[in-house]
Amino acid sequence: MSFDIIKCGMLSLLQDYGRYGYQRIGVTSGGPMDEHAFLWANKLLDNVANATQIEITFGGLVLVATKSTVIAITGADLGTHINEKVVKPWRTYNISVGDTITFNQPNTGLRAYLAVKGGFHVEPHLGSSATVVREGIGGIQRNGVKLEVGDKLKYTPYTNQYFRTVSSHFIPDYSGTIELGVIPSYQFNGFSKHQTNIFFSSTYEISNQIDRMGYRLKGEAITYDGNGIISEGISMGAVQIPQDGQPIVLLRDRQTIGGYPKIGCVSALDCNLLAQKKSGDTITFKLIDLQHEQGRRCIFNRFFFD
Amino acid sequence: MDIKIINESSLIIYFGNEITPENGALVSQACNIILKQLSSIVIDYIPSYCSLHLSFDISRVNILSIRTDIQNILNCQQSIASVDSDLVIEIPSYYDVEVGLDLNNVAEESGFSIKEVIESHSQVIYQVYAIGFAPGFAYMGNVDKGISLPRKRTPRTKVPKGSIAIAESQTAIYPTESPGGWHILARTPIELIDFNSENLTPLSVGNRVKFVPINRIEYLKMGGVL
Repeated sequence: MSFDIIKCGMLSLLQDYGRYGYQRIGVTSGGPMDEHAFLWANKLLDNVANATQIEITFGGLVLVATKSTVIAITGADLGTHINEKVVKPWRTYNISVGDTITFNQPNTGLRAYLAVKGGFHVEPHLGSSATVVREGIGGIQRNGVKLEVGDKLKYTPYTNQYFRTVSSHFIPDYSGTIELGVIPSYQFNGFSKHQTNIFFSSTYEISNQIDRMGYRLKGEAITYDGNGIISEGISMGAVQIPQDGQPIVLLRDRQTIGGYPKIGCVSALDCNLLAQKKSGDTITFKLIDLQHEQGRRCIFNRFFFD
Repeated sequence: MDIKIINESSLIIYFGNEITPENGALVSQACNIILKQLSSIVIDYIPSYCSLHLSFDISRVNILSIRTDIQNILNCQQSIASVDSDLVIEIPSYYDVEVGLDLNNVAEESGFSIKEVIESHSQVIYQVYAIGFAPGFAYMGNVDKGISLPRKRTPRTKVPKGSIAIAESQTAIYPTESPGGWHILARTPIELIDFNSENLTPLSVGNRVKFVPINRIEYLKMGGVL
């Protein structure tokens, strides 16, 4: 009744929708880096939206099923195989005893999601299975350790079959330069017009300093001319400008408070696209309207949660 | 007070732009009032020195209307925040060069004796201004100017769990072993973060805290590690 891990890959983590209500004591939310792909995987299987899945970063994960079930794979195309057969993301696959699933390396995107019918059975830690390595919290052993060879991920066997796929117009294109929408907020008014012009007209490259906490970018430096900042709470997608002027977009495992100036926030939905980008990929920023973004978010939430 | 929308699901309330016990008390008070009235839609909250960050379930409400609600809730609140509280949380603290890895240095830099540094640090009743950096890491102030020092130029790669340290006007306790650039004066045997306990951490923003010197024997008896 489990998927047994034969190879663990670079970074494979159990994640549910995240850990909420503990930011007040410095515990980050965690959860899927690409919630769009995560939520689709659960929806394809009629799972609850919060059901625990595996987030596979870059690939290298190999697992074997010990009982029949149905899985959904979404997000990045990591050159995935079921036994010898090449399989594509954004659909369900029926799994028999002994089937081996192999995630190789990225063709497009960076992170894939593997959901199982009914979700993986994991004892929650502070109300969530989300693994946060830095904090030593969540995951299979409730200590923040990533998945390792020999781990057994339990599920309830399932024998009916599913044949479902996501319509092509819902499948994001992870290739090429993406444009991320930024809501002007935090210290936006402390940046001069000239500096914000540079920020919104430059192309930034994704550096090799990227992880679940945030993405450090490389490009035109931005200068902050405003007053000093007293450490304050940090939202998902906040764009921090440290002293060297190279923007950092803060993501799921971000620290809860910080004292660097922030030029605004990348919309949470656009953070999903950013999370599929690798070092060397490029992005640009555009100014977006709060009302419009809220509408977009509301439609998204109703689609996946109602 | 200034309420700013941050993104489609969160906002931040600023109560001032200085680190003072009064601003800290305003944050704690607003936090209590808002949670009492809006608990069903608040997903997460982060009180800090002068601000309160709030995240909402926006499938149920509109962020612009929440701003108006909060404005009304806080305007209705007549009482003035008080920094006085009967409750003081005591932290048993073993001050000694054995665990206070920077005691000598702090004494040297400040021109005080080690005994005077310990007295200065343990006499003040501090206020918890914020919790962050790591789970359970509480920023407290204000440290007496006489012993305050900037952060170390080169942070330690490993600060032992329970280390009590100072930097600028602040003091804190490292809940777990981690890197850190603060000056270490002492070590406490008590747990600052326990994911398996109901309270998780003994400290909350707004609490008042005093470091109570204990000796080596008491430290070890309380489970302290050297």
